[in-house]
Formats: sequence, structure tokens, C-alpha cells
Amino acid sequence: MSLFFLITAAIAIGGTLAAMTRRNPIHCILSLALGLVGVAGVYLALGAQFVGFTQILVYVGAVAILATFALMMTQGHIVSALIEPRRAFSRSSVSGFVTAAGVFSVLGWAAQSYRPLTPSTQQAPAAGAKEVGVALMHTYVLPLEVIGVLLTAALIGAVVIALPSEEERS
Amino acid sequence: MSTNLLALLPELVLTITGVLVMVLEPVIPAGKSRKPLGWLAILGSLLSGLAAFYQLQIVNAQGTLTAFYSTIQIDPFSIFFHLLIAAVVLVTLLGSLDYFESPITHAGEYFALVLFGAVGMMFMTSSVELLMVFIGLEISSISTYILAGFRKGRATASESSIKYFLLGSFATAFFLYGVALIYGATGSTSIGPIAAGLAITRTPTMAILAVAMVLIGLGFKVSAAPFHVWTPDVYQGAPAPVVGLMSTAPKAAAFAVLLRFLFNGTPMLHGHWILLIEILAVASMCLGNLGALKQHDVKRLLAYSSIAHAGYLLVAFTGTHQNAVAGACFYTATYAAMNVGAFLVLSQLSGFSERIRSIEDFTGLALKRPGMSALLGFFLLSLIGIPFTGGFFGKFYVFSGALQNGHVWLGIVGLANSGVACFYYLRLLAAIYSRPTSDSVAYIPVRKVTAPAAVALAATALATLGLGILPNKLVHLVERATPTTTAAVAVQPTQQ
Repeated sequence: MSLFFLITAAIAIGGTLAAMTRRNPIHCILSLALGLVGVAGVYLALGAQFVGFTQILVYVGAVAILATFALMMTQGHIVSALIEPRRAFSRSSVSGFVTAAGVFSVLGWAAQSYRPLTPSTQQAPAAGAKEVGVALMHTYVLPLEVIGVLLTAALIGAVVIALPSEEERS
Repeated sequence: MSTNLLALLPELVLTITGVLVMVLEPVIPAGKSRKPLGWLAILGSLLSGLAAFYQLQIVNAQGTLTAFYSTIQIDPFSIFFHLLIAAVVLVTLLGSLDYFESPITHAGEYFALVLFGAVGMMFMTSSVELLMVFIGLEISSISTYILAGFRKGRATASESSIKYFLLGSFATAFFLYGVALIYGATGSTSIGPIAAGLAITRTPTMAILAVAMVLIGLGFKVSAAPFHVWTPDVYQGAPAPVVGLMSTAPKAAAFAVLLRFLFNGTPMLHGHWILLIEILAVASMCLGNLGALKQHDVKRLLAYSSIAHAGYLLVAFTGTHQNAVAGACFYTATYAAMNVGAFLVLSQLSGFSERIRSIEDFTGLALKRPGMSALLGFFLLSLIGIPFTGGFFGKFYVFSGALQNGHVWLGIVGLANSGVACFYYLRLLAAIYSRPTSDSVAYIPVRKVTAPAAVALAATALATLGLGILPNKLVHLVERATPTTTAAVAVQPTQQ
């Protein structure tokens, strides 16, 4: 385990933890962005530069900014005032914690016992821009195309939610 | 026609129709009825059903089709579900053509979303690549999230939509996590290579965890207990025709994914997942039926009933491969017919505003609306599983499959639950056919049943009756439907 991995992993975990525990929504979003930078660092450490920089570009650059703007437009300070102060040992937080601990301990155990499928010393496949592009235009061309339908449906949904209907306008 | 296009034909037809609906929507002046768009959508779903039928002829002649680098597999199994989804969408569209009252509330978007949602569901059933399944699942989910909240401005509608969206996204994340883990264990996300990889994997723990995660994700989508808590609230707030659609078509698609994934992808882990399926089945049957006993709202009652029916359907999974597929396919078809029918009756009775809701409101309904009451009664009897209705043979095939495979106690739990279920279905039925209390009947506005809705009601009633009297036709089709795993080796992208 390299030092770089440890640092990026700590940033990722710390950022997402803060995103869950901060009370101010703006702080949550900024912490989440930090966590996503940490995940991008892990990708870079694994040699997947393209995926790592895409992660920064899309999630930190676009999604986090979008979330901040959405919050500013919907007056997030009202939301934060509405949230009741959290008690550390409420029933929901304890049951959530126990479930999460169960899932992640099994997961950790499975990862600990992980052996690669083929025990050869084969190098991990490169995940550069070219390889990703080839995969998208070849094996995964249909999923890529069908995501268009997904986005169309989501866009129509946004129109339905955001635009007042004629009933509401009158 | 190239194989690739042929394999996508029903989805292509629906997508093009959906796009046409959206393009034509702004052409129609504001304030005018959006009904022509509805007719266009109906034509599209009819054509897509015909396209699936055409695929069946091709598959009968040439055998299973695979397309797009083994992403899509067209076999009798996927064609069966394509036909079922196209039929449910067709009937739903017919039933909701006159559902929207005069100030038109995004009716054009409604038709488009139903069509796009169906595209996603169809992709789920024909795809043998879990990434593609995920995208299909997302298309179908996002469409239904929006459709659930279509009665805007009502608190229950917003509650319905937001609850469905938040919990649904959470469940999808579980599914995706499962796919990622199965990739870690087997090196593939494609059904055939997963089965091959499991045979040689050295980390079965991870694979078992992956199967459990996928089961959680899909268990939510089919509203199996203990992942069912969203169902009553969502069904209560969503428009009745939409509930008819979303309690059948996306569930059929999710069951199709489960059948393919469990029996073709992870047969090596049969001993592990069968236990999980049994727990889900027993919990769904018991919690669904017991929960329904104390409901007053008819839509909530039917929501709990749909949880119980998901449990019966999961019992089918304990049979042998062929019995499981045949039983589950037959049950989804009969359940779709009777449940869509029941919700169509509800939507025709109470309209967009849904003024009549509770069992008390239905008291003495038979006096005022004898035809509608008879239809609703018939669908309720089929949901109980009375002979000469589709529901009877559905339960018969499911439980006999489980018994043949030695799951006697599951059969007993299932039959006991069917007995419990009689209580609440008959309570509603008794209310309909009892003497009206002072104001309950006068309160019900009579809405004229339009021709398209009548056609839809007749179709669901005939299907329910037909499956109860002549089940053989469908049984022959579904017994052939057992999917085989072809294309064990995915084509790797060429590196140049």
C-alpha cells in the first residue's frame, strides 16, 4: 500500500463522512466534492488517468457545482433550519450503523480473501482514453446509445416537475 | 433487415413513437385535447407487440438471436416478456386516454413517459449484459418515478413520487454494487461469462455477496418484503392507471432479470440464493397478506396484495429451472391481466380526482354501477385464486412447481396465506354488494365509460377468464421459454 493511496483513501473517506454529518447543506456538498477528489486520486493511483480526470471533470466540476446552484436557488438555509438536531443513538442511526457494519465487514472479509481469477502475473488492462473509447464504440455501443433514451425520459420528467400545468397556472 | 435491428425492433418502434409524441406535442395548440397523441402511443405499442410477434416467427425459424456483441439475446423468454409488456402498456394507454380531466395536465408527456418506460422494461428482459440491464432498469424507474407523481399539487402525489424516487435510487445502488462485485469475482458482467467465471472463481464469498446485493436491488423493484415499505404509500398517491402499469410491467421485467440472472448466471450458487429466495417469499406472503387485513384505503389494500403476490411469484423460483420459468411467466401474465384490470376499474370509478377511496365509499356500489362492480368482483375473485379464473392456475403452477421440487413447507405457507387473503378481498367484495349506507352511493359521481376504456376493461377481463379456462395455450408458450445460455464468451474489443 503506497503512501499516495493512503492519503487519497483518507481524503475520500473523510470527505464522504463529512458530507453525511455536516448540518449546513453547502458544507455537505463541498465535503462530497472533496470525497470525490479523493476517489479520483485512487483512480490515478491505479493508473487509470482518463477515468480519474473524467471523475474530477464530471463529478467535482459539474455535479457538485450543479448541486450548489440548485441549493442556492431553492434557499437551502430554510432546509437546514428545518432539519432536526440529530441524536447520536437514535433507533434509526443505530440500526443503520449496524446494517452498514454488517455489510462492510462481510465485504471486507470477501475482499481480504480475494484471489484473482487467473493467477498469472498479467498486467491490469490499460484504461486510457483510447481503450475506453474502443470499448464504448464496440462492446458497449448499445448501452451508450440507449443512455440517450434514459436522458430523454429524465428530461421529460424534469419538464413535468418544473413546469406548472395549465391547471396550476389558472 | 440486419440481426442487430431485428433484435431491437419492439424497442425501436416504441422509442420512435415516444419521440414522435414529444415532437408533435408542441404542435397541438395549448388547451386542446392531447388525445391524438394518446392514439399515436396506442398505435406504437400495438406495432411493438406485432414486432415482438414477428421476432417470434424469426426465432422459431432460425433459433435464438444475439445482437450487439452479445448484449441482447432474443429467445422465446424475452419475446414472451416483450409481448406481455407491450400488452400491459397498450391496455394502460387505452384506459388512461380519457383519464385526464379537461385542464390538461401534461398529457403528452404522460404518453411519452409510458412509452419510454416500456423501452427500458423491454431492454431489461432481452439483455444478457448486466450493464444494459442497469440502464433499462433506470429508464423504467425514472419514468415510473415521474408517473407516480402525476397528480401534481396533491400532497399524496408528491409523497408518492419522492418516496419512490429516494428509496428506488437507493435500491438501484444496491443492484449496481452487486454488479460491481460480481465483476470482481468473475471478471465479467455478462450472464454467460459470469456462469463460466463462477465455475473457476476463487472468491465465492464475493460472488455470494454480489447475488445478495442484486437480490436486494431487484427485491425492492418487485416490492418483496422486507423491501416493500414504499409500496402502499406510492400506490396510494399515484394515479390509478399508473399503479396498474407499475405494479405489473416493471415487476415482470425485474422478475425476468432475476430468472435469467439466478438460473443462467449463477446456477453454481443455487444452494445459497435459494435460501434467500425462500426468506423473501415467506416474508412477502405473510407481511403482504397480514398488512392488507387492516387497510381501509382500497389502493393501499391492493398494494399490500401486490406484495403478497410478489411472494407467490418468488415461490415459483424454488422449482426446477424449467418449472420456475414456466410458473413465474404464467403467474406474471395472469397477475398482469387481473391487476391492471382491477386498477382500470378503480380509475374508471373515481376518475382523476380519486374522490372514492376507502372501502366504506364502495358500500352499495353494485346498485349504482352493476357492470363495474361485477368486473371488480371478478378481478378480486381471480386475485384470491378461485377456479375458472387465471389466478387459480397461476397459483396452481407456482405451488405445484415448488412441491415437486420438495419445498413442501413453502407450499403450505403459501396455501395458508391464500386463505388469509380471502378475508380482505371478500371484505371489499362484501362491501360492494351490501346495502348502501345513507350517503355512500349518492356520493359516487357516475363517469361514463368511454369506448377505449371499455375495450381495455374487456381485454383484461377476457385475458383473466381465458387464462382460467384455457391455460394450455400460454403454458405451451412459457414451457418453451426456458432461456439457455448462449454466447458464453463475450467478444473482446479488438485492440489496434
